[in-house]
Amino acid sequence: MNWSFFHKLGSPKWLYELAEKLIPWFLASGISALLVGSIWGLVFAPEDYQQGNSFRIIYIHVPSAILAQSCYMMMAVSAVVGLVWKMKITDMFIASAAPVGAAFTFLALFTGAVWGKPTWGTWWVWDARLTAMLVLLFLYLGVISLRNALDDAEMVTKASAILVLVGVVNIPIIKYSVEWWNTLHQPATFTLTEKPAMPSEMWIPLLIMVLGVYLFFGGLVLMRMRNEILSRERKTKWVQKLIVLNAEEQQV
Amino acid sequence: MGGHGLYVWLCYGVSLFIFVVISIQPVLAKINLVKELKQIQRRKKADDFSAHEQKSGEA
Repeated sequence: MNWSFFHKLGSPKWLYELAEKLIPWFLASGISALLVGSIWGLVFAPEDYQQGNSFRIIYIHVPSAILAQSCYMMMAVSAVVGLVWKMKITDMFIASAAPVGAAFTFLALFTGAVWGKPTWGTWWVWDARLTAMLVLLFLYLGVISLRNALDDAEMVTKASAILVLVGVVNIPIIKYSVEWWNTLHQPATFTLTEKPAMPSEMWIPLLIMVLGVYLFFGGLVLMRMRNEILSRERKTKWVQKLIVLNAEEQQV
Repeated sequence: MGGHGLYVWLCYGVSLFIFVVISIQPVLAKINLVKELKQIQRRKKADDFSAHEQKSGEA
């Protein structure tokens, strides 16, 4: 088993250079997929026979919700790896991913509420899934505030990792809530094993949006991790050289 | 859009706004960070230079 990849992950400089190469690809592909998916969903997908055009909100609501949960799971894995192997990159990932995850959670809740009003006559109910998603938003905001409140770097790392792990029990609750309790939110559109009930003109743009949102997320998190690295490694020679190069570029 | 236009466009509009904000934020942060690090570097060079001058002045 080739462990050198993991050793490289421990090097901020290697990660910085990798990020520089990957960010444009992630952003370009993510944004293209989001554009294609949204335009397809807004203009070309057929109207729903029950909900009319308001169902088009699905093209934002579902990808955001999926990503909000995935992001948290990634943070949880990072937290475990960080607590066990003490790699700086895991803490940088948690710091970079939390605000992005929070934004997507908010978007899922907001679009869900706006979709709910014309469809079910209400902006909000204390449905299991909705409540659990709200808890997820609070967890994200909690991680962000905790990191801002503490000073000692080691404490920040440990405390945010522990908070992330304590909250991870929420994710299966969100996922299975629609199976365990029969309240307002509808069951899953997609499962891994069955064909979706929607026609392909409706679910293909949804798949494109999910892909787009993941790629976009990748680009965003890498951009933030790049800044984290620069800030934390500011005293090293390679960062100092980078700043000088930057300065010379601007003078020319 | 069958009367649901407001809801649909509100959602897409807010999403676009949020996407733009979370994209621009790290770009601005990087610009500010590089500016700050350059300033520190400049100050350090000035300190080193004056310390060197003092030393050679005393010698």
